[in-house]
Amino acid sequence: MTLPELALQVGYGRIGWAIVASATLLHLWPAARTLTRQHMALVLALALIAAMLPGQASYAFWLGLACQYPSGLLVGCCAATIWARMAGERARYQLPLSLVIALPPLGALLYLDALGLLTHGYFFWGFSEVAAPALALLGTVACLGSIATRGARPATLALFISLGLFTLLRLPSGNLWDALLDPLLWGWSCVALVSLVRRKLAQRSAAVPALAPAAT
Amino acid sequence: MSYLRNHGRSARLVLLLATLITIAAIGAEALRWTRMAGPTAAPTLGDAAGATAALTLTQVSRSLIPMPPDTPSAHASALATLPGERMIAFWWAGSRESGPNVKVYAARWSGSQWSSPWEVASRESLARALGFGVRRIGNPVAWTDRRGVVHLYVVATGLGGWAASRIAHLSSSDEGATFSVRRMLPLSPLFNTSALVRTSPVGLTDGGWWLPAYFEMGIKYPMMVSFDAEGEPKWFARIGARTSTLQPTIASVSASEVRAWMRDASDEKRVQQALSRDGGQSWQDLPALDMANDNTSLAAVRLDSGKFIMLYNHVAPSGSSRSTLRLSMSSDARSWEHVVDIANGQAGDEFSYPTLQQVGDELHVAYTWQRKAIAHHRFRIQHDGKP
Repeated sequence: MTLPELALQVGYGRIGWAIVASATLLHLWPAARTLTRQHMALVLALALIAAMLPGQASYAFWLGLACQYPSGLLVGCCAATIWARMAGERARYQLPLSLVIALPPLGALLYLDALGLLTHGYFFWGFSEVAAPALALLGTVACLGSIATRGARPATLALFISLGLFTLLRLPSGNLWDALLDPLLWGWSCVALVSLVRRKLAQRSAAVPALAPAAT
Repeated sequence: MSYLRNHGRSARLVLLLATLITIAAIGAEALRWTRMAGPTAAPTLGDAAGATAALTLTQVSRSLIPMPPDTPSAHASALATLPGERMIAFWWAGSRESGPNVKVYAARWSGSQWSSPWEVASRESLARALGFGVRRIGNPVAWTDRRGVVHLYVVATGLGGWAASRIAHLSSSDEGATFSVRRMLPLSPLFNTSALVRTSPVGLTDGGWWLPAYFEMGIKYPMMVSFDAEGEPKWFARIGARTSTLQPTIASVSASEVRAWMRDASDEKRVQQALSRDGGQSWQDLPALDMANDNTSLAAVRLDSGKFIMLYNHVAPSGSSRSTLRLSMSSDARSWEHVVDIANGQAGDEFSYPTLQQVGDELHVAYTWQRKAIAHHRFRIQHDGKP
């Protein structure tokens, strides 16, 4: 088990929550659709400054009280959203499809085990000295390959950020699970999955041709 | 690579940065793998031959540990040794349990008396060090490593009640005079909440130790965390599969066999137990002991002689769940013999949350006295009737 130093975690917590807060603000604020790249950078900078305020003056202090640290993947997803917006793309506050499909069942298993309803010790595996880091390293290399051939797509960028933070610095907690998932991200993915399923069902209903009335 | 041709400079910059990060990550992991720890250490054992020898406990003294001023409520004591056959005690005190002014205090035992208490941790001091808020603090647990560094584990909650607990790890290089926060132990994926400590650690042959812990969010289950000699966590395991037991107290029977006894939150109201045959890595539940436990904390320790001592709340017919504190002894950690009732009160009295510590040829007992103070009893350990 290799754990990060507390000072690194404190810094990560402040910066991570600032990125999450900025992406959330840019999504919820209607006027944000018309912001220039410079204005978005200003939003991010102000969020960072507010997060770095000492003690209780920082909103990150209170978010940490409740949630401790955001997962690297949540930070990555939010960073990718901001990046896409600043690049002029019509990015919505939307999880990549691959994560929408993978995260709900993975998270359900992990949380059921953590709650004690399963006894497989899934969370403990995330601290393994060889298997978890090797998997994270493979993932990092795979993301690099994808960036080289297909560019920095949101899902790839988000995953690369989370795995990079874990493999380099073991952030946020030294556990690979905490790098890839937290209850906020899991909740987001579950809502996105439900929306996706409802959309598909609605599309399927719309595609069924209306029956012609019977001849009398 | 057509993507790079089509998207130019910024894409190449991203790729360059990603490549550098990947190379650095490979290097970092390679470095960590070259420094990987050796095999898991075994627990330290007492004298196995001495486990069957007769043993007598003679009470030498009893007192209340001095309390800090203006703290009408105190609870959840812990003991740890200090060099020179001295000892240090920790407990929380304040206006009431979960009160905003609750702090963790310490006092030193010099061999004959207790020092005045001093503050070692508060919500404010933990929050300053951690960079995020702490709503309330509770149970402290302590261990002194081979270098004399005192490790203190304190329950510190996030948003919510004790179900939102986390475990803060602090350490002191000046015999507990001052502490610095190392980290919050990462024990749960649920915002790292619902992990608590209560009972004393167990030493390992390589200088490390096991820290008993537990999960409590409706469902309750015991677990343990293994630390190396420098106080870095190495692995942790869930103890058994029950979902109504907590606050495990652990003792090693042999190099591979370890037993844990748990507080019972079920309707069975018996001391629950579990067994590991692989040095704590995996556990199986055993049938409950024929000893009462109406949802109260208990303590067990293996003496240097090899004998096992357990301190738990016996439920007397005229008493209540925490009005009698009973000390029992065992040679094999399976069958237990009543030795003496340390405290015996009336229904409604509270003598609870016991803790045990051997220092030289003395057994020290501490427990919560009526939720107002911490009581301390000192026993001399005599083998085969010899002084």
